[in-house]
Amino acid sequence: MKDDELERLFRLYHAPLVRYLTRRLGDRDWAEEVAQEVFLRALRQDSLTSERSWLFAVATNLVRDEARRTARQRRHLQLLAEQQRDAVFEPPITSAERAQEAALARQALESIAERDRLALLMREEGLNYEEIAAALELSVGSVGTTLARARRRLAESYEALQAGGGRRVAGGDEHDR
Amino acid sequence: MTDRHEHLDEGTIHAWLDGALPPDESARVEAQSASCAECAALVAEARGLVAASSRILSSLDAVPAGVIPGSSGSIDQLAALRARHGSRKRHWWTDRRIVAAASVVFVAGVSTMVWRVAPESARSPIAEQMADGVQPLSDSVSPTATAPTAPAPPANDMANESSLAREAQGRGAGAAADRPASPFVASPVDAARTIDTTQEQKVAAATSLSRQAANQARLADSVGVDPTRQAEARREVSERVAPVQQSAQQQGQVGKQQGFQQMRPDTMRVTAPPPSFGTRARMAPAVGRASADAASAPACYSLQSAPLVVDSIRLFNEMIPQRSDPSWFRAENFGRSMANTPLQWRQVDSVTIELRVRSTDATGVRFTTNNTLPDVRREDGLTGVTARRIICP
Repeated sequence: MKDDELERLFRLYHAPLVRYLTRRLGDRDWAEEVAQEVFLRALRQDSLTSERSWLFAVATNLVRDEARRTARQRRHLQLLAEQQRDAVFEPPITSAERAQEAALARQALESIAERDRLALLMREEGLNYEEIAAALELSVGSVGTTLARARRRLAESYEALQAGGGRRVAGGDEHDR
Repeated sequence: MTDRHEHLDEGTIHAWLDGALPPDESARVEAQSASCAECAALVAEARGLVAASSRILSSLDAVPAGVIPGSSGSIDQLAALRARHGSRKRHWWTDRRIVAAASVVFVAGVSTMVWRVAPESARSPIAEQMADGVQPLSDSVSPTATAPTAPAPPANDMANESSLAREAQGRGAGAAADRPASPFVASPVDAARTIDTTQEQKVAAATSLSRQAANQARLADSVGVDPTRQAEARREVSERVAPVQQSAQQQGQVGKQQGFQQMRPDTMRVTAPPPSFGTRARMAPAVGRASADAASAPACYSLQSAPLVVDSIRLFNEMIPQRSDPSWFRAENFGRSMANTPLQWRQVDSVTIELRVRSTDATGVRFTTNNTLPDVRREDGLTGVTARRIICP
């Protein structure tokens, strides 16, 4: 792949990919690592048809595989990292309220099924139904239902969490991070 | 006659709101939501859910990226990516645990310099030892490196094997004798030396950082996966190294370009037996390139004694990214039975192809393109079959 091709891909898709991964993983560093890996693989192709779908599909599968291996470990280490990070540096932007919102959102997101979650996150990055279907191996016709279910479940979980003062909402694929 | 229509279903409404319905369906939904109060209510609710979920998800973006500001700049990422891509192809660099962008960057920078100044013989041992982090390059850097008589730093094991070092020993004053300076300093090309020094200093900075990262990675690996620490280390290194590497890159641009060209694997086409390449199947083989060349038409094989109900298959160059290993490509069965079974294939090594039914991890077959028996150790569900290349119908 030529250099200007790479730059174009990067310009178009790096930020959305990182955001997608950050939302999915809850860890910006990890997200950037995975994004790097995705683009590395893209580099090895002469060309990509349906680029966005391809990039998001590879990203999703990388996450899925690694997450399976290290799910519990990573959760624990993430907590440690956060503690450590907080000890060193005070995030200037994140107020307590926004941090709370983020925590609730994370919990709500965790409470929906993995496939629904991924479909929703992809949709948020602008992937159309065909791209989402291709990336997640769904039929195009089922994407609407999947998104509907995901959005409903997310909103309801969030609401419940807000009302319940952040108590853990049961359900979702805890094992399938 | 009353027509009792069904109210709009959720999926259709969301598809409509997302603009994913074809025009005629879209018009139908619009009309229905206008005429049916209940449908209108469902649509309104759906709009609310769409907006709410967007808002909820955007609050997840408040996650701080890292301790050091500017750590996630796209330019840095792009630079790190380029370096990583270039250096991955280095054959002598086999330690895949050192995946920290910076240590890779370091390797790229170093090898660029090696090509520019080092004779062939000196390359491998130096590079290997540096990759092992045995010798801190920074220790051997001296600002007055242009002077061969500059006092050399503490013992430099790696340089012993390099002919450059010997050259330095021979050329330099006694100070360099027992402690040869960095091989890069002892460049036979005087003009290059000055440039090398600057580059060297920059690479030195990169080196010590990347070495830290590499050591951390190694430590983490031996102790157990510590991805967070790894991530932190990599982040730190890439932040500090990327700008360094960028300027080093500019200086070493010519060498680097040559390097890239050298390292780019031969484009392989499915239609011809591929040349041998790196053995790690993990790396996407060069055959994975979806070549725009019309000559790379799909290849067809006839399989004998396959457990899969396939006999004649067609291998395409089109990638299937669904599996985590993106070196899977589309394949089709066009034989007598179960035509158009969705299949996938990949290149296992230079002569072996693996074929599976798509979306399952069940049985698969392997065959070779050179009329030998494929090597199928006790891997799950894999059977070796013989195959004959045929002309695609």
